[in-house]
Amino acid sequence: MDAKDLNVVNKPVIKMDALGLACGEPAFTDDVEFKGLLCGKILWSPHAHARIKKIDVSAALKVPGVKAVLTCKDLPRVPHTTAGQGYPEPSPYDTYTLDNKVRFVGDRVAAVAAETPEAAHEALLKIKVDYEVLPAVFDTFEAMKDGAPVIHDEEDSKNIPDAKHNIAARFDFEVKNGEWFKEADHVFEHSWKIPYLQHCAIEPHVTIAHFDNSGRLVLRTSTQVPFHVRRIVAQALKIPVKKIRVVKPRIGGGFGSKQEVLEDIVAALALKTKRPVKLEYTRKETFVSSRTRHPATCRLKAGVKKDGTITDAEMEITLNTGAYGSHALTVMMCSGSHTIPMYRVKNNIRFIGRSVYTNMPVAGAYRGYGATQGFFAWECLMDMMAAKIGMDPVEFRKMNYIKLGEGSPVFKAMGEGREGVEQVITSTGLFEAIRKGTEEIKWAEKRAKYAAQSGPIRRGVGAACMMQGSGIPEVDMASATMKMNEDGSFNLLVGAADLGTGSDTILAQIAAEVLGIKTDDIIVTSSDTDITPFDVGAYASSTTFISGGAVKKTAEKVREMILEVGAKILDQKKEELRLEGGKVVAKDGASCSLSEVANTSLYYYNQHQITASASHFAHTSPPPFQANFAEVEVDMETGVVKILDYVSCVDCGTAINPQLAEGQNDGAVLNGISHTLSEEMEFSTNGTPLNASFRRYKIFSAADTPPLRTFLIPTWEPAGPFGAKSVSEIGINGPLPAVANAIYNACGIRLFDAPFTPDKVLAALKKRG
Amino acid sequence: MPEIIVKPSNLKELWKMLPGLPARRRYLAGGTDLVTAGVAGVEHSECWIDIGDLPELGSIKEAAGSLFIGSGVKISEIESSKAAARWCPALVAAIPHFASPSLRNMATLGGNAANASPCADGACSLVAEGASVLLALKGKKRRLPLVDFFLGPKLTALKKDELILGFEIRKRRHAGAYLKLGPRAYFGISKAAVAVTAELSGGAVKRVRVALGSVAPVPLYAARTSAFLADKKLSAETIAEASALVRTEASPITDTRSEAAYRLDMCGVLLERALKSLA
Repeated sequence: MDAKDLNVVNKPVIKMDALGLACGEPAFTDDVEFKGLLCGKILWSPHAHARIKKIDVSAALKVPGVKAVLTCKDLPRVPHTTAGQGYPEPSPYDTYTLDNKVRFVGDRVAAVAAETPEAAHEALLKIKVDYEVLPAVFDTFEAMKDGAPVIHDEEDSKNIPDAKHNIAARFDFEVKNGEWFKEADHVFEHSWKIPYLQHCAIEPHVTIAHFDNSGRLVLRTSTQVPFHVRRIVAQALKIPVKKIRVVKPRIGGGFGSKQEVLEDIVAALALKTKRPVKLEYTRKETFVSSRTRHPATCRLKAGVKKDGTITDAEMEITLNTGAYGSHALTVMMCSGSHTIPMYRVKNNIRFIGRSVYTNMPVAGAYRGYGATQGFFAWECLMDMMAAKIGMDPVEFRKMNYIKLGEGSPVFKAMGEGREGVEQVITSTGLFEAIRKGTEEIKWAEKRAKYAAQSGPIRRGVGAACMMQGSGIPEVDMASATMKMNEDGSFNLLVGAADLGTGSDTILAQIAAEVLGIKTDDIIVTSSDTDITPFDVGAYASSTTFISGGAVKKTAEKVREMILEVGAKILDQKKEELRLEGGKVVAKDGASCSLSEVANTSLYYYNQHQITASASHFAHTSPPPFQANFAEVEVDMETGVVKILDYVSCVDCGTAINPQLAEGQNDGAVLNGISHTLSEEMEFSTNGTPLNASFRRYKIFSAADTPPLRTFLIPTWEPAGPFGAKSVSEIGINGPLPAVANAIYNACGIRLFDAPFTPDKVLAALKKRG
Repeated sequence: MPEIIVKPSNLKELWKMLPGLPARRRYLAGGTDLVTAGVAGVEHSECWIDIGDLPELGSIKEAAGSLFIGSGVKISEIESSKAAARWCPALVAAIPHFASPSLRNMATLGGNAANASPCADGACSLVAEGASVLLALKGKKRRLPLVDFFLGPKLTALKKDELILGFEIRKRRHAGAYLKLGPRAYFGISKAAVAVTAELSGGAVKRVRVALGSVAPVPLYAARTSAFLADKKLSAETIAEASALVRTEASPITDTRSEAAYRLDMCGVLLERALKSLA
């Protein structure tokens, strides 16, 4: 099959929720009113590390309107992880809904539910807490030393590899093939750093916990992982899964932060008060107490021969996971598993990974998921190696990148939190992506032109290539159910979670393609644990590939059932029939409409509901590939870096919806550009966040957006639905290295420390002299 | 937000109602500083007096020798004023750097000065324009050079209940420039900013006024640099000397927005560029 044979897939179908959202229809978690809704608020720790000796809530309870005040004494003590991952989660069980110890400024101390926000706020002020302040540690390398403060000294936490040295996760891996660096003509060793970054989804974390008419707990919540929310809330509060329903309405962005299960506390408040309770994070709370990207130090040592062969590579990544180890192991492993296979390494490979506890905000999943941290180092080093051996950096990459049919020992050795799967590359458009990108940015012409420049304004172009995954092989699973209605329309029920990404639309396109109908004839219901079948949720770039696979299988089953009924109506052999244009069509031209099929099955003949369910998981995770090119202007006197042009060529297999795929990539790239030039969470020396607001933490706006040019490079991935791979994350990894390399091309300085603010750029220029 | 917000319809009514208002009261103009401070929990007045629509503060008036910009004039109105473009080019050059288009529709020049932030784009450029500020308290008016109005971060010469009527800029033919380094393309507070006005005559400048933003406790008038540049030809050497001199006048701090040393350097770089743009 080929993309040109497709009728609905690979077409820019209008996003099905777009008009309603644009018109402000009530769609989001907080758009619905509940009678008697209480306001939930949390008391956050002012200390980076302290033991709670005593909490007195008596004054708080006396505040008029206050219905409940919860402390750790009121809740079961269940070690769990907030990482919304498949069961058993590969993250350590080191978190408690409420604990007698606080581990960062912004950790939970107590929770309040009251009739009004004002009463809840007043109650928080009246909770008296007696803290024993403990020594705190903020730096990963300090935290690993003997005698450092032990952040997880509790006895009941599980799966922490070395609590004494604050190590939340570790993974080492080696391919040994002779003596290290023996063949290398040049050996490089540098470290790259990424700071604390926040997702900045426009909708904050918000949950309304209420009860249905049989007293079951319903969590209406802004989440990427409804089924994991159900399981983890049940676990943390010791209530049966069957007593909980999780509903995901429309979501105002997630980017990984909502792969985190923080709903336990509002559920506990509702259970305590037997009233509906809403908990909505403020922007400050979102910055400090939701989740962040793992800050990283990535040391990369690699050898290269004069002919461009990469001989050896040693990658050591140290992630700061903050006070809890959410995604600590998997982000760390992905920093290597997504990056090391990108280029052939002839002899030796070593990966040393550590995720380290500190008394800082908690890191979690964030678009890119380790690959962002890893590729910053890798792609900058590729540029340095090319420069040293006098090769064009693009040619050097072309010589070394993983080709069709090739595998890597890393695929098998490094999965997500466990062993991976063996795989070879079954589709790649990287060659074409590089060709298109070099042409669009005018690579050769500009490299030559910018070789000799003077004056205060210098220009440069830089490149970076990358890959990601498409779901987690043999871990991620999704399922779908379809049923047919009288008018030939279909209900499609999916567990997949549309976060604004457009997954409802593209899943409908996949079903419509199989059934020969228009997307309008599919009614999508997604992410309601009572109604839709299971799906791990929206993460790991899995929805198109895994959930799409489930929808395709389901639609194929439905197609068979339709054809059976159609065969009876048309009195033809089933094998002679096909679905086309909303009809069952025979080879001889005879046809009947789908509504006739539906009515026949429902009312007349061998009565039955045409319906089917199917599940899908994958044995491989075919990587999308991307070539990025940035053109920058560096102001040598102020250090200001301006991006003049950014070309991003992405091979996501078949783009199910090219317009949405381009939008995903543009968004990811702008997110990455904002990381590159602006974003950084700052802290005082005692761990207090200094810029936890949009007033001080500057994300790039429309006015800052340089020309972003995304080009989709079509390939056909045999394992994906209609040849599709993923597209949602890969784009965020490009700007840091592409811009760093362009800055080098412009003015000869290498930057290792993100973001590249004017102060830092100018300091590097001065240092070079 | 306070429980009481009053809105007098003219100045006379304002002076009359003052004695009856709670003691902890503040004037509210565009609200872009005050309301956000309220939301952030750092503004605790009992009463706000909304002066945003007082007719006496709301216009730009051209007289024989000077231009008057009422304190209640919205920043976006200045942007489109021909008189402002002619008589205060540095102020007009600062406007694209001022917050965001939506805030410029709300914010007033009087509020920008009364808030007394050392980073205020409007105030800094007005210092370079050599503006005077007209103040009023219960019918009593006084006039101050704007440089004497700013006493420190968030501190002004305003007495209790005194308000800014407007700003007066002497009409003189001059060129102006405003250069700012912020965190992103718009809607960001400056790391450093330089405002310059210069009366040009042939290849030389007669009088120059240099003002600096975000590098001192107040929007700073760089007196020595301004004096040095008077009656000089804007040669490369003069510009370089001025740019070295201006670094000795600023006293920046290191904060979340920038490093002190970087800010100091930037005063020089921005001044050099501003002067070159005028030459």
